[in-house]
This record gives sequence, C-alpha cells and structure tokens, in this order.
Amino acid sequence: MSNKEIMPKQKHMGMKRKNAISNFFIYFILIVMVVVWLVPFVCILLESFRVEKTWQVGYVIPHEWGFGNYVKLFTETDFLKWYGNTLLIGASAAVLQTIVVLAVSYTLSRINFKGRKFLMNTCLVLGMFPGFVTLIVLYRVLSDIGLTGPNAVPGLILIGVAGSGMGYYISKGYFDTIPRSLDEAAKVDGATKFQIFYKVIMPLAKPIVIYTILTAFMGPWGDFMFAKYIANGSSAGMNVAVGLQYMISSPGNISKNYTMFCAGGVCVAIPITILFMCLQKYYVEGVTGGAVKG
Amino acid sequence: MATVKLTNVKKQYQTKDFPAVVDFNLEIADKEFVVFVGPSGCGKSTTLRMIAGLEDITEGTIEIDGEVVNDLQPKDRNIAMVFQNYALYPHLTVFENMAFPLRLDKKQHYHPLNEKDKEKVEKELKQLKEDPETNKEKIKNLQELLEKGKLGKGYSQEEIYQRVTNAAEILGITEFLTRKPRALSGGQRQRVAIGRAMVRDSKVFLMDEPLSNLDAKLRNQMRSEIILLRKKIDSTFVYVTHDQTEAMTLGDRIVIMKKGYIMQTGTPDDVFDRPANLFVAEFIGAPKMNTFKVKLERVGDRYFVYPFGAKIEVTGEKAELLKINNIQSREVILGVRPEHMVLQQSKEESSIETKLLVNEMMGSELYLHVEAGEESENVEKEMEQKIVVRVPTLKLEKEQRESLVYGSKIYLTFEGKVMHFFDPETEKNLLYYTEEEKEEAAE
Repeated sequence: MSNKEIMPKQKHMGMKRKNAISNFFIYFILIVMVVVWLVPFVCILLESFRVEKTWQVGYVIPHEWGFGNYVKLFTETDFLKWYGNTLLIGASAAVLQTIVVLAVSYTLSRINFKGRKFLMNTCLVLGMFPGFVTLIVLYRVLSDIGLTGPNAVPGLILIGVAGSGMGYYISKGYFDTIPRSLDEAAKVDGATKFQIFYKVIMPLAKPIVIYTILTAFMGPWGDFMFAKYIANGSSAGMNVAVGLQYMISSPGNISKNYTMFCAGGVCVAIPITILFMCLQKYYVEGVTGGAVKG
Repeated sequence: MATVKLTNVKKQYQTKDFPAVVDFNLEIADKEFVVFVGPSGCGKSTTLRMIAGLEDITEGTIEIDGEVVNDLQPKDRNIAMVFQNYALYPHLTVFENMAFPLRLDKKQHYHPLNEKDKEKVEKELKQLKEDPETNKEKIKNLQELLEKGKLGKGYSQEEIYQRVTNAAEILGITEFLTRKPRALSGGQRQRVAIGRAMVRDSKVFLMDEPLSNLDAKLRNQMRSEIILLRKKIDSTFVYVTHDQTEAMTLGDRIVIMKKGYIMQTGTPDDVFDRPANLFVAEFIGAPKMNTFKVKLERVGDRYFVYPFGAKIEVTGEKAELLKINNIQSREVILGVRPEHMVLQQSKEESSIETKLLVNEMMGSELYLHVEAGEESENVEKEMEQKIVVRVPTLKLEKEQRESLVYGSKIYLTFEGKVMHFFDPETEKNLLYYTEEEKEEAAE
C-alpha cells in the first residue's frame, strides 16, 4: 500500500477521534450545567413534600412524604389571597401592557409624525435607567392617591402598565418587517386604519403579540422589590413573592414555615412553566422575529 | 363609466429638494388604457399613488368621474390597485384574499335577484300589467328591480362566493382558491392580486409595475393575458411600467415621463413615429435610436444630411414636412432607428464606412454594433461613434452572415423617409406634423 492511500484514512480517523473528544467535553460541561441549574429546583420540590420536620435539615430526600405543607399553605396562611393578587396583577398587566406596547410600536413603525425619532431615542435612553430609581417617588405618588398598603394591587398594575410603551423596540422591529404594501393594499381594498391593524397586521404579528403577553405577565409575577415596598407590610396587598418572604422573615418563622415556603415556591412555578411550555415556540419566534423576514 | 382628470398636479416630498411630479395635466377617457412609462425616479409611480390616494397631492386637483378626490381616502375613491410585489395577505387563503375587499365593503350596492325572487317579481309584474294605467308607478319600480337588482348594504356570502369564483375562473386560478399565497408561484400570485382588484366594480384599475417581479417568459405571457383581461373587464386602466415594450403593447395611450415632467402623451404610433423630443425618441424602441449630430442642407426643395462624410438625401414625407415647416440649412441631431439602417454591398456616395464590433444573433434578427470610421475628414469629435443596426436574418445570405465578424467593414446608409430631426439645443423635434401642433407649440 502506498502512502497516498493510507494518508487520507489516517486523517479521517484523527478527525473522528477529535470529534469524539470534543463531544465528550461539550456534553460533560452541559451535564454539569444542567445539574447546577436543576439542583435548587429539585431540592425545593423535595422539601415541599417533606412532612417530618418543618425546618431546614441536613439531607435532601425526605424521610416522610406528604401533602401536608400544601394543605397548610392554603388553609393556615394568606397564600391564596397573595396568589390571587399576583394573578390579578399579572393578568391585568398582560392585557393592558400588550395593548399599550402594540399600539405604540405599530404607530412608531407605520406613522411618520414630527418628533418621532426624538421620541424613540428618548424612550431608549429613559429605558436604560433601572426601574427602582423611581421607587421612592412612585411610593409617594401612590400613597397620596391611596394605592399602597392593602390597596397595593391596583397600584402595582398601574406601575406595570404606565411606562410599558417604552419597551416598544422589539415589537416595532417585528412590525417593520411586515411590508408596507400590505397596509396600502388593505387601504385600497377599503379597510380603515383600525381594520388594517386587526385584520392584516395582527394575524401576521402573532408571535410578537404572544411574546409581549408573556413578558408582560412575567414581570409582575416575579416582582419583589416594588411589590414589597408598595404593600408596605400589609398582608392584603402582598403578592406571592412578598408573601412568601414575609412567611420566613424572622428566625422563628423560618423554622416553623420553611417547608411550607418551599411548597409556595412550587406553586408559583407551576403556571409560568405551563405557559412557557405551550407558548415557547412563539416566544422564540418573537425574540428572533426582528431579524428574520416575517 | 369613469374618467380621470389630473390638473396641474404637483408632488413635493418634504425630504427632497426637487419635486417628484411637476405640472401634470392629463385627461383619461372612460375605458381607456393609459400607461405611464419612464426611467426610475421619473415620478410615474408617485402619480399613480396620488390617483390611488396613497400619497397626498401638493398642488393641483385629481378628478375621478368629475368628482374632485384630493381629500378622499383610497377606499372612497372606488379604485382597485395591483401592486408590484402583489401585496397578498399571507395569512389568508386565495379565496379570502380575493373576498377581502368585498367583506369590508359596507356601501350601498345593487344586488341581482336570485331565481326565486325573480320569478316572484315577474309573476307580480304580469298581474299588474293587466291593469297598466292604475299600476304605472308600481310597474316601473318592479321593472327597475328586475333590471338593476335590489339595493342593499355590502355583499352577502352567496354573492361574495359568486364574484370570487367568477374572477378565479377568468384568471384560471380556481384550483388554488384554498391555498395560501406562499404556496403559489409568482405568476399565480400576480393573478390573485389582479383577481382581488377585479371582484369589485371599481371605476378605475391602477397597476403599479405588476409584471416586473416575473421572469421574462412569464412576463410576456402575462402581458398578453392582461390585454385579453382588459377586453373582459372593460374598465378604465392606468398602468405604470418602466418597460417600453409593455407600454407600447398594452397602452391605448402612453405618457412618457422624465424627472417629474411629461415628455409626451400619445398613442403608441404617435410616440414611436413622431417623438416630441430626443428623450422620447431614444426611450421608445429597442435597441435605442441612433443619433448623429450632423449638418442638414437645403438645396432648393431638396434636403441632404452628411453623417460621417456620406451624403444622404431626405425623401418622402419627411422631406415634405421639412419643406412645410420651412427648415433652412442648419445643425441638427439626426435620429435613425436601428431597423431603418440599410446595409450596402459596396461603397457609394451615401455610404457610411463602419467597422463591426459585435454581432448579436437574436434569431429572426441580427443586431450589429458597429463603429463609424474616424478617418473621414468631416467627422466631428463629439459625434456618436457607435451605431446599432437591426437586420432581418432572412435578408442575408449564409455567406454574408458568416462574413460578419469582428473588424469586418460594413457600408451603411439610412432610409431617407424615416429620419427624425431634433434641435441640438432644446432637443425638441423640429417638425410639426399638423397645423394644430404648430399653433400649440407657438403658444
């Protein structure tokens, strides 16, 4: 056998081995990452079913299993109220914020008016300030109109919706990819501006609508800082995150309520997980939609 | 029944320094097919979009059927439009795409009666006619009902179905009605776009370069289909294109535009045979007209031109016209179309000596790109050196065709009766064909 025949084969083998090694490392790193990511979730899930002791213990697998923590959570605490509050805030914010964001971004995408560029740039710059900078001012304003403490729910909805139009850019980018001649064709076909929007543009913008709803819902669902501040210690105005933290806020409480706290965490994760599993396809399309032609 | 009239229409975009359309005056007759043609940026699409109502009008008025529509929304102008990129709604089926304008239309329309109602009305009419004197009014009403149909808002499901399937049949897209646009080819999409425009009884059809997204073969096919379609629809058409062939074959009348100005308006024959200026002469016809800066000499009642040292006499109608217009010896830009160049066997007094550069075999014709000889004494420096000649292949013997290779010598002359003369300064045609034209120009 001549060298010429052997050489390519050797090279080929080398490639295969190289691939195998690099694959091994890639999978190794991925598995490590998965474990690191999942451990806290698994721990919380397991803790929530542990009924022998209510405080933190040195082992992971429960000795006694049961739904006691969940039962106690819903019967002995205000958890249901907090859950309802959060759902209400999340749902209202999702609906209102979606309307606002879509209206703003469609307008900015389609209508050319004076000061449009300035407005867009201003929103972009303002959006770079962290939200909590306004915390104290917002509290002041809300407390003056009586939307703090036990009335924190409408206050939090207001906070969620008020500035949401500034987050127009992703959906504007998506609208920009929908050809303008579709608007014009619809206009000639006899559609009003609103009909163009909901009969032509909206069906084409489904991914971005779902993306907007999802993000609008998730914001208040996981909010802690604003919710804590605006609720100001009143249990009736708390959302789940604040409520759960309130349950374990003192050393005495932590040993009494720790497993129940874990059960609460699981309950919080359930709806958002289901939502994501169903709508994940659209979410990805929405995020990447700006770059791909719609 | 729809006429379109544009009076002193001007369009100035705020972001641009120069106007897109200037002083546009045009009257389009009922059922006329008018084509706007010109190079890109000449304002033809802008004008069409102003008629459609998609662009504001800076100055002037646009009337449709005698009604000024300047401030009317597109939907209130009763127009239909076909876009260059089809603009089909991707989320709707072909049927729904075509039904879209009908579903939105909530205006009053006459709806033809169905068979059952027709019978009923006819029966009633028969009864009433037994006593025509007392029931005069009623009879008249019923007859009108039979003729025009019932007046009512919008369209019923049944009617929408009828209209869409009818249009689909005419266009041959019935089998695609349930498909989405993305499952169609370019030609099919274009048909759907035309169908969407057809389903309504629009007064005016506007078409914005509808064929330019299609490949060459399909474009030729669709062009002839549009001609047929036009016979069926029998409405007023305004068509925009940058392709002079489309303009010539489709239009009853052609409007040639350049940089926002109308260069010439006329029938295809008009603009081809009697171009108003050099721009029109060069724009219409392919390959474009050859132009030479030459001296025109009047000797008594005869006229001669001297391109590249050759002496060619102007004959026929053109010589007559030169005489009528009383043109004296002067410098002119001479225009001769490639098909009016004549090959000569040997050098004569009327020959231009040229060298062959490229020989394009187009099938039935040969396009010869030649260069006029520079050795001649009378040649001016700025002269157009390159000349294109169109020769029917059949006219040449085989050996003759084979001898047409790079560098071979070719003797050319012009047909004396088909020359065009333009003023070198204004680039306007020197000849007026009628007294009216002459008067108009004098104004």
